Amino acid sequence: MMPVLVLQGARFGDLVQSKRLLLTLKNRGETHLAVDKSLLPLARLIYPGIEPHGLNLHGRPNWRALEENRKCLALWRGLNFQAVYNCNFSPLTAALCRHFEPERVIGCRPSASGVLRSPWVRTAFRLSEKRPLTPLNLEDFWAYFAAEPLPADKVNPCPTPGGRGLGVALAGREARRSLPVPLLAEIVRCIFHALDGPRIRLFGTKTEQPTARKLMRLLSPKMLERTEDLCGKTDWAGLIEALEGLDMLLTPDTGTMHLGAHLGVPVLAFFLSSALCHETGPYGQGHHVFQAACRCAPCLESTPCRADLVCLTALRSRKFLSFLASFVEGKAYDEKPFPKDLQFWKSGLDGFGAHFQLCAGEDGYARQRGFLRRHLGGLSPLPLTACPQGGIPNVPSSEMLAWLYQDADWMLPPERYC
Amino acid sequence: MTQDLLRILVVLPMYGGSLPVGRYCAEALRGMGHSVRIFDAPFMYPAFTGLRRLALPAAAEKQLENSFLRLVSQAIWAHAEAMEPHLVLALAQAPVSRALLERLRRAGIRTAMWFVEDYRIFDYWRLYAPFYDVFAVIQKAPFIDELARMGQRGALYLPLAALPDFHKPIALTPQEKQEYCADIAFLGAGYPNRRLAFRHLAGKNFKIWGSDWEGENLLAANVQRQGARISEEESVKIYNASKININLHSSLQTKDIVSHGDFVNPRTFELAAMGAFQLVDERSLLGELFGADELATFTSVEELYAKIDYFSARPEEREAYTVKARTRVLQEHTYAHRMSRLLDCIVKTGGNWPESGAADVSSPDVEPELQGELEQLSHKLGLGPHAAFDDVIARLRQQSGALSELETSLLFLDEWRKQYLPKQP
Repeated sequence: MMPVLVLQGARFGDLVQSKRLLLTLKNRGETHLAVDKSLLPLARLIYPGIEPHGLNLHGRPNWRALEENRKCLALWRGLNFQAVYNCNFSPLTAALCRHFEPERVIGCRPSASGVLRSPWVRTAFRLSEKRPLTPLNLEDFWAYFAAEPLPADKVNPCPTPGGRGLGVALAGREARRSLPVPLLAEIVRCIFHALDGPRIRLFGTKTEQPTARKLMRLLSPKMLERTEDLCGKTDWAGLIEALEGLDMLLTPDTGTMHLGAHLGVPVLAFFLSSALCHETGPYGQGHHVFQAACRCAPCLESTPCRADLVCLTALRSRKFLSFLASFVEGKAYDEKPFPKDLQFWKSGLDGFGAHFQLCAGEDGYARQRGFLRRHLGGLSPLPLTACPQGGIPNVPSSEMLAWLYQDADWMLPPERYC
Repeated sequence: MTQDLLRILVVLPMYGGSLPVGRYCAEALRGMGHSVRIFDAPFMYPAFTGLRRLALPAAAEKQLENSFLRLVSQAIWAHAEAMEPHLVLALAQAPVSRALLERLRRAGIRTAMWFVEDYRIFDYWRLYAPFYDVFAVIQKAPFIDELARMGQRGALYLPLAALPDFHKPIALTPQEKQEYCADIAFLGAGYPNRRLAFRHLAGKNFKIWGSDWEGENLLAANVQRQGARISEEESVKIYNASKININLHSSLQTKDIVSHGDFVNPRTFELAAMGAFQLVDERSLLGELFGADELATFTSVEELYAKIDYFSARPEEREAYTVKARTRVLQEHTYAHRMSRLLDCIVKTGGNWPESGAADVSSPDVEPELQGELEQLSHKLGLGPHAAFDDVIARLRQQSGALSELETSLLFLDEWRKQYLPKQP
């Protein structure tokens, strides 16, 4: 069987979330992976058996970088890939795909007029138009570039506390997705006490070092004794080594979070602002996410917040800290008061892929999301456990139908890239 | 300021004789270093013909045709929005509506029409001419005066021309010689005056190429390929292969076979550029374009027949004409000459081009070691060695199949620049 290439030109978190697709393809034959060269060492570490290729994809263009890419393209010509899975709806990776016969490119295909989307990619982009309703995890989105992907429970290990303490990822890529330092300090204190004083490891890049120092100023001497600031101090191997075996990883929606899930570290995530657990929540059976659920969520990170960061209000309440303590201590929390505008979700897996089960709070979109998941489930021969039969209409509203089945979807030829 | 490198959008008509002229203009502009995009309206033509075949009620069909033309205009606007051209150059019959012309004007984009048609037959210019910044035509008085009276300050006499890189002498293969060679040849549509003129030549080694010769029984044996349409590429072979090319300007009249009209058709310049011998009917504007020793002419069919006989026996005299005609075309009558005049006229009429946004402002400085490869690639893509980077990219995008490492890398570089470099104001 001829080799295949996966082109993943996005960032750290996206590379980790391509795992289900990559493992699916690796099980079928020789698989190559192209990433930005800054991620090449990570790709080698987390995807043994897959041949990684580093490209200059980010940063300012220059001829030297271009020459390096050209050498890589020359190498690819000799490999004669049977299929090229282009994960990114990006003119950059689409340009690289021009090196191959168009019919070999799967997912996002280049054309004279721009980047064309396969029917599946189009479906996913349609779902992203109504984000609160979407039931599609990014890991599954990429996995279904391949027919009948690996079962979801074969992707990441079951999250299990390893006895090596608490990890705290300090920031997401976007500032508003992260907890403000005083609030984060309060949450870390709460968990520290609930877990009976574990070791704490702070994760982040060099950029997060000032945040780490601010946080540490707010921790007690006893906690500081147990705290290790690893911000900017680990390479990829060091980061993996430091994450492995943690009892819990406290994190916003970050690449570190996905790496934790990849390693089987139980994740407790805070999804604020533009982050939505149904799209990019930790992949596996039994991670947990506090999801902002105020009316404006999920918002656009690039636009200024006009709601005075209302999504933090619930997290600042006593109710929340009390709930959090009960959860971390392993006590029953079903009856605990829970603040409004917040949801608490537990991750699960079924025949299609990842889903999240609501443990606390209210979900105004459950019916629509359930319908959409059943709609997506038509792609999978395996049973969906995340779609309870009761309460989900077989026939959705006419408005939803009109959105799902647009004229061009059925009046123009099917299976077309557009 | 016409030395500036400009972004130019050439809008082709959906069909017709001005279609190749538009493509030649685009090539010439590219050769001058400008960044050129073509709006390929012929791609839309099947949609229009399909609509006609639906046999809709006349009123509904008319309404739908108007909607169709609005759609095409929107597509042109989308092109213009993406490209932000300095100039939109439309060829006669290009689907550019008045509303679109107004929109382009509001957007600060200059517009020019090269009306390469007979103004007496195609009189829609009356409606459209005021909406263009420059209206170039192939006839002089009284047309030019009439345009000026309408308030068109940019009326310009711009005769047709040849594209030397395309209309050139070529060597034919033995198979091509067998197919195309003839003592006498004509390539063009079967207009009434031509039908009458050519009947007399039916018994000679005379090949007629082109369409609309149906029902002409006397010439049936002379008409090649049952009157199939001939491509521009094949026409170069035919002209090169014929000892005497008849160039009789078309006329709907049968009373005067030689119409003694004013404008000079493109075939005159093309044949001359190829070094192919032609016998062309006299036109009132021909004398200022070619000297009497550069082109052999005729003023009547009798003279045509006589000169066919005369020149058939005198290859040296034929060659003397062709050498001089070709020299004259290369010196004065190329599309590059015409486009240069057109751009000068646009500047004269509307002032200098805006300073910002010259075509290669954002083009990368190419490393010296890559320059040679880039020139080779330009040549392969049918562009000149100094083609604008954007034109190389535009050509690459149109290529089908897998691209080479260099080609892929250049496309990637283009996207990279767009993503990471700040957009020019």
